[in-house]
Amino acid sequence: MNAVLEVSNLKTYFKKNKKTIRAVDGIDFEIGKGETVALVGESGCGKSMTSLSIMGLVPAPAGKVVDGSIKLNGVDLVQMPEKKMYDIRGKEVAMIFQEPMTSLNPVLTIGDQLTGVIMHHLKVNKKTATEKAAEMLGIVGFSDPLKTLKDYPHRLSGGMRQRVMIAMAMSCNPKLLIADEPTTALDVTIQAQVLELMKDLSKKFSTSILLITHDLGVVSELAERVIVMYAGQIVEISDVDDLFEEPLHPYTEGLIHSIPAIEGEITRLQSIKGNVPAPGTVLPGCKFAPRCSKAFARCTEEVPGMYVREDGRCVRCFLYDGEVVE
Amino acid sequence: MTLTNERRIPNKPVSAEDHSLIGHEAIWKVMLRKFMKNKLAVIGAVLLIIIVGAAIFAPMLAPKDPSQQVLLDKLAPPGKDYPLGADNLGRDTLSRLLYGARISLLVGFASVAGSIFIGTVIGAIAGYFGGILDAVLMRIVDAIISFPSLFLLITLVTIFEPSIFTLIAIFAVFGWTGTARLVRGEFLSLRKSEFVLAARTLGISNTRIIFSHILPNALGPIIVSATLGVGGVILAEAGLSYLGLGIQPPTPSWGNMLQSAQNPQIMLGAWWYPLFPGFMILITVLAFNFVGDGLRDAFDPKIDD
Repeated sequence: MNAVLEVSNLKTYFKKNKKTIRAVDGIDFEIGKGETVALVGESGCGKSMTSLSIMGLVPAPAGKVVDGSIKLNGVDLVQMPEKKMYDIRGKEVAMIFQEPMTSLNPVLTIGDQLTGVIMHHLKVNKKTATEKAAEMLGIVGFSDPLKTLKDYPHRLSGGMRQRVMIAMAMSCNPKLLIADEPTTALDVTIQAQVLELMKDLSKKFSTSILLITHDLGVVSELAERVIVMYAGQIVEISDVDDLFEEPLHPYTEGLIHSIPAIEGEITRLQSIKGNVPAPGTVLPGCKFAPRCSKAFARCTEEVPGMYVREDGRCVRCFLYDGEVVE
Repeated sequence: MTLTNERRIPNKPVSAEDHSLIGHEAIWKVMLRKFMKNKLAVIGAVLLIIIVGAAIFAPMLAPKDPSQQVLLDKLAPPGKDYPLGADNLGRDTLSRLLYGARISLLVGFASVAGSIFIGTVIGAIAGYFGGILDAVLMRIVDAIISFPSLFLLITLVTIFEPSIFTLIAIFAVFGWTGTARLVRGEFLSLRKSEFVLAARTLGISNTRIIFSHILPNALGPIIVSATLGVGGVILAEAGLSYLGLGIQPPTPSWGNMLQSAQNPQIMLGAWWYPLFPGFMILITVLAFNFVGDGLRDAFDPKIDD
């Protein structure tokens, strides 16, 4: 198995006022080399906590990875001492964020920020780092990289800053790039450019991408596989085409029906009724049952396990109890 | 249903010119313009340049040796020989003021440099790491602030020989609390910012994040507090010297020049003798405060230029 990232039974809990909030509640997934996997779900379903857990940056002391393992090329990051994580972050795993306007330091030049990272990880001198930085800026599409290196972030537009962030994240050739809503804050035309850029780079450097988003349009554009999360758990894992063709879990179905279709007859847009359960609520059965239109008695009594179908798709729903192979 | 959206745009290179819609101007230019708009601050800055220049070039500017005593000329009024008069030992007031500026400014700058350094490091650590470390450090700050500082200063000065060095050390060691609180506050809000998280995901160490990423963002308030602090220290030094606990004669400082004027006959008869050192203290402290206020406005993005 040549998975770059293997997450198994990951549990990240938060303690707040003596209450335990299960932000990430036992998730398992893998990302292969050069593969782009999307992690989708509503706000508060544990997407960002999953990414912070991988980076080893869960806000301490309230939050903690309490169980499970995160293996990057076979090495467990959960057990990794903090000192060693400094060499992992940015070199093996890098991350880009939602808000390009605020994720660059306003008082340092683009060059300072880029070369700092390169010098730290590749252990090269300032001159080599500057050359590498200019090269990266060229790759992400700046026509005059040497000039941009001397610029401060406020001179750049949102799309350009996101390009700089991508250049910075990719500068040490990481195995895995985590993109946390990379295009949410950008306008539509720039979004397309940034997605295209990420796709190109992923191919060029054979970097795996974990794309965290709630925008299914972005998912269809970039991802090969999709992981659907709900309330800290994975409810469905599927290839992107299958998912849009035939969503298995009622929640996935709801998500897909809540975006307008461009072709076909115009129908009323559907929404999923109700809200994500408040963090910390413990339900005896399926966490989605209170909002599910297909729920039946068993759903509120038992917690559904992950069913693996014959075609390899995984879904956490009793509707598929009959089709199990395991 | 389909989700493929036909909005692919060729990924052509973009350059700074295409997109520089926001903020053409360098930040410092904007700040300089805001500062220049504040007339008092400009006056303060000009005064400071003159005063600092006079202190630096004191040996060239002073007409006489500041410790040369001509007892026949004691308490001479301002005139041809003594532009600002002479003191009770017949020393030239102008020369003593010029040399005194060196001492007063040296004490001011050096103590503030020390207290800013201590305050910044402690405030940065408390604000960045938070938790128990923050609580302990801030309680130490509270304890130091609740000391009656004037009496503490007097006690310390009587224990240690009052020299320029001890004065600077004492001011630095007891003057950092305000800066520490200020820097802590800045760090508390900045450590949550996205660029700090981004830096952490890139494997940058805490030390580097504190000193090369967050500190430059907090520099504005620190510079303002330093500027205002210099004025405060000059006043405090003058106060101590006036009580005879500061800079010891014959070394002139503005404070100890006032000390020897503590005599009703001198005060009333030879008004020029206490007036000039007092005036210099006033002007210098005012100038520092004006500049500090101007800098505060210049650094504050909420105040439009």
